[in-house]
Amino acid sequence: MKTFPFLLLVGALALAGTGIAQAQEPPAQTQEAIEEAQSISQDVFGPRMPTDEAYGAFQRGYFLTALQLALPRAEKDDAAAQTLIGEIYSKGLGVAENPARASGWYALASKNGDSLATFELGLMYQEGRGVPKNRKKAAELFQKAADAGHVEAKYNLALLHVEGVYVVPSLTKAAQLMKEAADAGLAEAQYDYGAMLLEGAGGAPDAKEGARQILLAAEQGLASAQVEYATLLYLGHGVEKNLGEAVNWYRKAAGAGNAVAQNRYAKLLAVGEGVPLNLEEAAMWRALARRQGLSDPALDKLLVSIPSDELARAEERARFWPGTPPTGQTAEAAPAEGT
Amino acid sequence: MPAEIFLIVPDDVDPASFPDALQAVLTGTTCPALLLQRGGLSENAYKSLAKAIIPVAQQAGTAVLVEGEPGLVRLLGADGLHVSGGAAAVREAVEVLKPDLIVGAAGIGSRHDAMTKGELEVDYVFFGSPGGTQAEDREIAAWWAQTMEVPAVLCEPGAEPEAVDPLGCEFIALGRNIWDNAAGPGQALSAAARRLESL
Repeated sequence: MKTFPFLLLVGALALAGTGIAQAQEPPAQTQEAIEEAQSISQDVFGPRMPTDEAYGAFQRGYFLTALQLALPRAEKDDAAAQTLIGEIYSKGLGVAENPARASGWYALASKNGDSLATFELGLMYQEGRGVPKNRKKAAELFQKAADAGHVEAKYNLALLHVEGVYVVPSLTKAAQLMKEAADAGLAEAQYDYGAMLLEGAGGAPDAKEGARQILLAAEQGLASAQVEYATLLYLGHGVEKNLGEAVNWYRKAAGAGNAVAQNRYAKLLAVGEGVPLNLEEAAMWRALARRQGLSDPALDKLLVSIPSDELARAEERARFWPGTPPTGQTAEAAPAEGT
Repeated sequence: MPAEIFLIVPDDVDPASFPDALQAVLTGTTCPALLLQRGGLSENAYKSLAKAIIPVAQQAGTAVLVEGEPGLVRLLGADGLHVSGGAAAVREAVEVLKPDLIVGAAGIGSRHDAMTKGELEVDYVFFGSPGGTQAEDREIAAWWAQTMEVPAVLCEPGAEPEAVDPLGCEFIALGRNIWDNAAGPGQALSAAARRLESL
């Protein structure tokens, strides 16, 4: 908790919230694309644009039709149509993904005052995607979009104020922007704003409000916030100590694939803290954390005494996780024998 | 880096006297590229004009772009093809000529058209027309230069040489405003070059 989680999140924002779901279950691509498109279209066109044909086609997943309908409008400097085309090429909806083309349309839409396009173009400059990487330019675009009220831009701008290289270093400004983005319901901002409150970065420390913000992010499904909130519960920091609840949040984040949560949940299982002791279960989560590159000698020490058959079952289960091994023995039956 | 000059040779020059005039002009001012307009010339007239001009230009370090069939480039010993047709024509030229020779895409009708052709591994995208450039062409060219990697050529055949504005494009194409200039083509071209240096 000493360090900010922020900088890991820089630039990852555009994908926030979809990453985990995609990693876990890659179901019908089209459905996913349609849902993503719908959420984009609501963001872009929601209250501001009357329903039009291009938007309607986009919403229904007829991306090529949407593109055909939007192009003539885009050529005539219709910012919403330009952004729509930018989204289609940036995300490869019905066409090959084409960041260079997307950046061109975003640039036009941004010039014509579309703040979502400004933000997306900022991300592209930040990552060097479709345009040459240019963090300074990215910062200017985030600033412009944030000034226009774009929530994710405020969040990214806050991170830049913490980094203090491409905009003036200012934790106070960062905290203000982070609060605005958190109040608008952005999970990443709630998490980072909570962490700032806990540390007193950019303002007076407020552990209670900090814990509350992190809980809000955890409830939105942000795995790193779930881990953080579990840790606060475990320590009784900013919130009443509650081992059972801490275990629940670790388990939830572990199940979502977070390696740190898998490791900590395994430790609690290995010593029976806040949860009944269960070495096989602990070994399974250890195996899953290891698979992601997280090894922990402290956890290994707790598991030295695990019987070899339990260990073998645990590793077998990890291999098929989140499914179960296709043998006669079910995953549910196994831990009961071990305890 | 200042924009460079892309010189356009009109189709109505005198094949007998023009090569000497060209040599004089290119001796004074560096031009990396020269476009030989096909215009209304017959195939034979165009070929003989090209054969007279190409060695002079290449001697001065200027790459010569011709118009027509892709096969014409190697036949004439030119350096590349200037394609004003659709994306299919550009694609064909790229297949036949790249990577040894230059291919440029012209006849840009819209931003979408520019992007479609620009993605075909061309060496430049040419905005506007030797016959005249519209405000919308300039707008698209400026946008292209700002956001895309493929070099842009902005065609300004009507501008005063000492006032040309490439709008961020890597090349500016000049033609009638050089050859028909009252001060003479050599003076006009060096005035344009000084202007570009000053920007």
